[in-house]
This record gives sequence, C-alpha cells and structure tokens, in this order.
Amino acid sequence: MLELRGVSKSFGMTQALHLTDLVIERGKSTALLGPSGCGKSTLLRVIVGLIQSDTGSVHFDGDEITPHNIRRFRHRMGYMIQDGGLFPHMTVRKNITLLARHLGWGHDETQQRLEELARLTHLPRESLDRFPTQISGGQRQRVALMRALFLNPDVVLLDEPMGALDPLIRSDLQAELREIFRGLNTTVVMVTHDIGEAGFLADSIALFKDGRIVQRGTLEEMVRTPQDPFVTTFINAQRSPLESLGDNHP
Amino acid sequence: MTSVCLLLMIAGAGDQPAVKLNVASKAFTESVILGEIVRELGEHEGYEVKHRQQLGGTGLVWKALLAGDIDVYPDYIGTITQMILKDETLRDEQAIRAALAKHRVGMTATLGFDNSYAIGMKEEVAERLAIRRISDLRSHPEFKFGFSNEFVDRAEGWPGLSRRYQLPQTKVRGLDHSLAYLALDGGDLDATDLNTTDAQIKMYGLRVLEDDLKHFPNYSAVLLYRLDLEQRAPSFVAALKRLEGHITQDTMLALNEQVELEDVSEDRAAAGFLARELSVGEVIPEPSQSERTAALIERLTRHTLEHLLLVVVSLSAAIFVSVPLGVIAAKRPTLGHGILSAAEIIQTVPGLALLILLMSPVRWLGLSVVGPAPAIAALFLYSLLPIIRNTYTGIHDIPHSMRESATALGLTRWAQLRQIELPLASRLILAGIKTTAVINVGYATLGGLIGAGGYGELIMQGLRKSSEAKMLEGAIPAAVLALIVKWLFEFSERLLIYKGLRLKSAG
Repeated sequence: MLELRGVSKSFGMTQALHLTDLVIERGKSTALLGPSGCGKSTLLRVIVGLIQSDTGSVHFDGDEITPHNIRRFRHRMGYMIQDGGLFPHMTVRKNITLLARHLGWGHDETQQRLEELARLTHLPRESLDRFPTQISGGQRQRVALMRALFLNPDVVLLDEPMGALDPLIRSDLQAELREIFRGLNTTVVMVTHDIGEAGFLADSIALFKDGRIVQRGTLEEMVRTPQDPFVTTFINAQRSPLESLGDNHP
Repeated sequence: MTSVCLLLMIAGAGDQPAVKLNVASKAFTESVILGEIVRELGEHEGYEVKHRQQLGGTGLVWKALLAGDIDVYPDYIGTITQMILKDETLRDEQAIRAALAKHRVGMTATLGFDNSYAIGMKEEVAERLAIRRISDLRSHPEFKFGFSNEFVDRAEGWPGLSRRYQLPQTKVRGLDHSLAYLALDGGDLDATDLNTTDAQIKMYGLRVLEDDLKHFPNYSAVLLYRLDLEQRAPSFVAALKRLEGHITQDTMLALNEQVELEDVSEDRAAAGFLARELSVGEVIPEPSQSERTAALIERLTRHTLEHLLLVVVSLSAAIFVSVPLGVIAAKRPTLGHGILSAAEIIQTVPGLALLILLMSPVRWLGLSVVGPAPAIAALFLYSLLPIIRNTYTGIHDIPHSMRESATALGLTRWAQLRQIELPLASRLILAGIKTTAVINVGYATLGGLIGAGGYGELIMQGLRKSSEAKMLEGAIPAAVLALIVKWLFEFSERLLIYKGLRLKSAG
C-alpha cells in the first residue's frame, strides 16, 4: 500500500530521520511509536508531503509520490492532527464537507456522506451547525476524523489523534476508533507515544528511537523478543496505575 | 456607489457646446477676488468659466497654465521675473512679454495697482523700539521672523533682503501667510512679510517698514493667459484688457477689506467692482439669512461629496492593490521585505511634497493636475502601508496547524488562500482598512492645498481669511465624517467577519 525507501530528513544540524525503509500493508493499522523527537511524526509528514525528505522516496500502490502529483494522492489519504486542525471560521458541517465542495460534489451526495459519517462517529446532529470553538474536545476529534474520512480514503494518517484529550474521553474514543477502523477495513498509520494506545489500536508497531526504527512487529513480539535494550526500557517506562499501590495488589 | 454618482455628476456637467474656460487663483484673498472678477467678466461675455479658487502657490499655478489645465490667472510682475522667468534683467513689460511668449503665455498691461512685498511689525512694538525703516532691524538680532514659505524661498525674499540690509537675525522660519499674521498678533513673531494691499495691515494694526534701500522690485498686478485664447476666445481676451489700469491701489485694498474684514463673499465683492467701475453686470445684493443657510448647505454638500470622492476612490484602489501585495509579502519573505520597505518609504514622504511629486505622473496619465487626481494618488499611496502590513501580518500569523491541515486536505493553493487564509486574516485586514479609511478622511483635507476640493478647501479658505468659523466649517465635518466612517466599519464588521472568528475572540 505504502512503501518508504531510504527516506531521511534533517533539520539544520539535527538528523530527525536516518535512512528508513518501511512498508505499510493494506488493511492493516500500523502505529509509529516512540518518545517525542524520535522521528515518528517527521515520517508521517513526509508521507503526506508536508515536508520533503532529503533522500529516498515514498510509493503509493507502487507509484512514486512527487511534489507534482502529491495533491492527487492527498485525496486518497485522510490526515488528522492532534488538535483536529479544524478551521475556526467554518461551521462543523462546512469543515467536514470542505474538500467535497472543493471537488464539486453534489449537494445530495455530500449530505448523504455527512449523515453516514455522523452515524459512524456518533457525532450529535446538532453539533453540525456549531463552530469548532462551541463543541467539546472529544467532539472536535470526531469532526476531524469525519473530515479525514470524507472521501473514503485508502489510508488514514493520524498524528497523535488523542494527544489533547483527557483520559476518560481518550479511552472512549480509542474504543470507538478501533470499532470504526475495523468496520471500514481501512489502512491506518498512526503516530503515538502511548504504547497502550498503540497496542490497542494497531495490528503492528514500528518503535522509533533517535530517528531510527528499532523494532517492527506486534506488541507481543516486542515484549517477548525485544531486539534492543531500548524496547524493554520503553515498554517498562509506561507505568501501570497499579504499580503505585506497592506490593499489596493481588 | 457614491463615487459612481459623483463621476456621473462630473461627466454630466459639461455637455454644452460653449467654449469652456478655466481661471485660477493663488491661495490668498486678493488673487481669489481677481479670479472672481475674471470669471464674472468672462461669463458676461457668454463664456462658461470655471474658477479654481486658491489652487496653490506660484509654481503649481504656472504649471497648470502651461499644461492647459487653466487658461488665465492673476500674478505680479516681480513674481513673474523672479520666480517664473528667473531673469532679473527683464526690466520693461515688452521684454517680459517677449519672454513669456516663448512659453505661449500672454500678459495684460498692469491692472493698476502694485502689491509689493514689505516688512511689517506690530505698531506699538515698532513705536516703542523706534523702528521705522527695514535698516532699523539691524540693531535687533534677537528678533524672531516668520515669513510666508514663498518669501523664504524667493531670491528677492528673505535671502536677498537679509543680504541687502545685512540683517543679523537667525531665528527665521517659514509658515503660512495667514498664520504669520496670527503669530505676529500673538507676539510669537516680531516681524513678517506683508503684501502692501493686505487687509490685515489695518485689521491687526501693523506698521509697514520703509524699504529704505529700495530692495523690493515692482509688483504690479497683471493677468497671465494662454496665447491660444486669442484664437479660442478672442472677446474674452478683449474683456481681460478692459481691466487694465482699472483696479487702483485703493480699490484693491477696499476689495480685500470687504472680503477679509466685512465678510463679503468674493463673488459679491467682484460683482460690485465690475458694476461700479466697468458697468458690467449688476451688484449682487447682500444675501438674506435663509440664502446664507442655503448656501452653507450647498457648500457643505458639495465639499462632502468631493471629500468622499477623494477617500472612496483612493481607498478602493488601495484595497485592490494592497491585499494582493500583503499576501505576496507573506508568501515570499524576500520580496515581502522589499514590498514593505517600499510602502514604508512612501509613508515618510511629507504630504505636500508627495502631492507635488505626483503632478508629473498624473499629467503623464493624461489627467488634470488641478483636479482631485493628485490628491487621490497621494491618498492611495499613503493607504498602501497599513493595508499591506495588516494583510501580511494576518496571513503570516495564521497558526501552522491551520496551514498544514489545509495543505494535507489536498486543497489547491488558490483554494487555501481564498477559503482558509484570507478568511482567517479577515479581521486584521479589515482593521487595517478601517484605520486607513479614518486616517484618509483626515488626510484628504490636504487636498485643499492643491485645489482638489473637499473639506480642505473650506479649511484653507478659513485660514486665508483668518476666520475660525470658516476653518471649523471644514474641520468639524471632517471630524464627523471620520467618526461616521469608523462607525460604519464597526457596524460592517458584524457582517463581514466570519461568525466563528468573532466567537473565538468572545470566548
């Protein structure tokens, strides 16, 4: 589906991403996991074409993505960022349907798709005519997801989709997202620093450290056969809430 | 909308086949009265004559005459030789006439009076210090002098005078002639330049110092006209010549006093003179209170429309140019730096200088330099910076995430600009336009300096006649208009700024 060959990127003196190869399989969800500054977001932004890589190439279904054809491929990718990136001057409805209107979709077709997605994401109907500042953080992420999914993209790219939400809403939305992605059978690439989220939502994980992929595989594989001491360190760094109760827990 | 109406009015004004003539006057009362005399005389001969009152200083009026924007204006022999022809060897009228003919300009014989330069002081100060002659000023190096700007510049003005009399004073500044009288009266100045026919000499009780070294040249009044008038309007030229020798020193002084001290309008003073001295036309009776009110309303309406024309046309053009420039500046940092610097440089050019500098390009575009065109061009240029800067800032400060979201969605650049960036910047852009509009209403009064009309013309009239009431007639409507414009913009913000953006600021 997506294939990255020898992609690297540096910002000034900092090598954000060393030579990296990565294959994203169709219909699978992949989490790009790692501490902040490890290069995972950079990789995602190279795929969407928000930044140009210094070396290497990105292929979409075998076709190389170039600055000239990127816009065509963007219509086949749904991209969503941490705070949703909703446009404050447009109502929720306008935000979601922006691209469809831009591409000249008919009114009925657009409305039908909007209804469909509102059902899918459980967005209350009355939210549609509000402005982004008038709805809750969780709803904003639903709206951002609807906008990303509107053209029924081949791949959904999520950059810390739940980074700005509080834990309860986050947990609810994670469950919903899993359901949605399983139902749609879409290819998903998500960036997260939360190993629990990665394990919960993704079929496979690519763990990053200092601009390199340290291990690629399922969460289980990483726990059982870590290929680098960092893998264990990173997994253990995620503190279980029960830990703080000391040795008394059953 | 308003500007369209105005343009139609202007366009519709001249569809009569009659020969249309333009007379101009310089920015002082005597010149305006002479201009009115010429206008009324021409109309009596059956011509359609427009008088561009207090068009500006000598340089400007002469340029307008050469360009054909005006056909005739009053001037003085001394001014013609010193300032226009810049040839002090021209002694007699024949020589001057020959020199003027090279510019295709004709000159009447003297009208009958001499409005020479002189130096004046307050009578009681002069009496106390026993100053009678200009030579007496030599023993008072502490004196503060304020001269009209032309006098400071002219060779026979302060530069020549101080050399000739060896005057030691160093505190010399240039200011408006009318202001100089006020400053002299208030004691801020000790002496100023006068014209010997000024009504203010009597009004402020001034002593005219004797030119004991005979420094000032002959300032006999004449009319300058384009020589092509002899073909285009022969009976008009003949009528002009009827004025020769008919305006004596006392007559001119009396006319000046009527206008400056007795609040007689220039057209009435001129009509009275023509009826009495040349038996041309009739005396205009003193207007009744209701006629005065009607005239005031007519005057205010006309000047308001003229003022709006200046503001609306310049602002519309500036928006049309500045918003795209602001966008380019935000998108291309290097180019943007150049654009902003250029706009900043324009902003530092003083108003009058910019107006004068714009005369040539305006003429080159085939527009009249004495109409509203130079003022509109100047206001347009002054409007660029605030709108460009606010557009630039508005676009530049859009959060990175907004821009990336728009890009990642796969919108074209143009759609991003139109649907995302411009709307997000709209609040700042509109604020820039509002500020510019309010400033322009004030700045447009500068148009009074170059005959562009508007409230500035009323203010200049007030200044010329030392009449605060007249000045306020222009200044108060200008202030009110500025407030109305501000209020209109604040009201329209509710309609023009996206609701979602207003919510954000409220929250």
